[in-house]
Amino acid sequence: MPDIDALVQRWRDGDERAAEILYNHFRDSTFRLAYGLLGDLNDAEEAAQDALAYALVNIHRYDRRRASFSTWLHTITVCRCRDRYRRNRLKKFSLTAWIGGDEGLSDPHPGPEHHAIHAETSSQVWEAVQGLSLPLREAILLRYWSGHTFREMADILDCPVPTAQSRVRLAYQRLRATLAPTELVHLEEEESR
Amino acid sequence: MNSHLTDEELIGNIHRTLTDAQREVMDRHLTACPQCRARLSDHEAMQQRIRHSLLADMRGVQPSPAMSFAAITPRVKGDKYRTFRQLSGQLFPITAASAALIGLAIALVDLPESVIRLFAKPEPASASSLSALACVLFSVATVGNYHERRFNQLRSSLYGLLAFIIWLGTAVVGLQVIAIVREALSWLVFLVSGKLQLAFALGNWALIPLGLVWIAVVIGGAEYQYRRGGQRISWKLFAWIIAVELFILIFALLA
Repeated sequence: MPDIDALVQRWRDGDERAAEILYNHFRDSTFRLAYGLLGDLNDAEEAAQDALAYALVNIHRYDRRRASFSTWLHTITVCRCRDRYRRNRLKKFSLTAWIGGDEGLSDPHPGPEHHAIHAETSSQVWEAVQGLSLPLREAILLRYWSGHTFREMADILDCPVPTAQSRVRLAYQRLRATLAPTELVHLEEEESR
Repeated sequence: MNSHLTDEELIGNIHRTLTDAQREVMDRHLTACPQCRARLSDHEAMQQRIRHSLLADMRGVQPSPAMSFAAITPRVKGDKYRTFRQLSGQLFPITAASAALIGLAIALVDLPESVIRLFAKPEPASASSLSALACVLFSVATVGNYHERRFNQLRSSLYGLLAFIIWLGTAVVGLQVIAIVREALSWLVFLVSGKLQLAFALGNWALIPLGLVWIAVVIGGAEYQYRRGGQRISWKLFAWIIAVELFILIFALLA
């Protein structure tokens, strides 16, 4: 496990090898976070690459007294993913369909081809997570996958701590309702007896 | 046992969002209630299932070989403006604070005129360019904090000071804006009715709702900034207030 603070300092001093080590160390985790948020391999790669490049170019903006490097990097990644998500929604919006009185916005979530291509991540839980809204998906991934504290999540998501907590709880409730609806009915029947 | 724990309480338990007092009450209940213990176990099992499944799914995903350091090397190594960026990053807090302070000083210089206008007879809506300049300086102090880069900014105490200066400055400029809106309303009534006395009277009465709006924005804004100090959304609120004030001031300047 490399000493991240030392690498950051070396890169600040101009050691390009340190930048490469930092990149390689955080490459996979940044990509996976972006993939979890966006649900598309290409978009995730672009967002993650953008986030890593931004972090390395703007390394002077990182202050280790305020957050760990991974928290800072995740903040940038979440922002990039949000921008890409909004852009993708606009691209998929069909004005003709909207005027024509259709239900409106195209489904921003991945279509059938996504399931075929990304079969390795087609578990029930994964599909349920991808069915959440973006704020809830962010909350559940940062908490369950990245293991961030609520304080760190509040910094990353730019919201108060109670908001981060309630998003995680709400995301969990939605996932539970999707993953175990029959179990829920059974439990409710038990409670009513 | 008459009452059981709610789902909300159990979910709060597994996510560790309960207070110590709530947890103590819950632990006492769980000791005596096998049904709630079973439900808690269900939730814990579901939580573990989600967590493990996510970890396994994410572990199985790899970026393509195209995602490499070599692909971003030109951007990282070829950053000719790195020194400039570093310098501007260090200088920005000073610039923001200076702009805010100068803006506040200018707004305070214009304050007597604003107060006089509030109580004088309405004139054709005009604006002081000093207030507009103050707004421009506040926007300089606000806009740099608006975007994502929270972590490189001032410590929270300096954040609070900067927010206070901008809040006070926008409140002072708000008085000028109220005077302008009042004058504009008076002259609108005059243009429609042709009666000067009626226009003046309505203009004076309009001060009441305008004043209430000003008080609501100032006090509500202060509370909002206190609660959300340092967050992007608080700078967003400042940006909107400054934008509205600047729009009205420039409109009056050009009218």
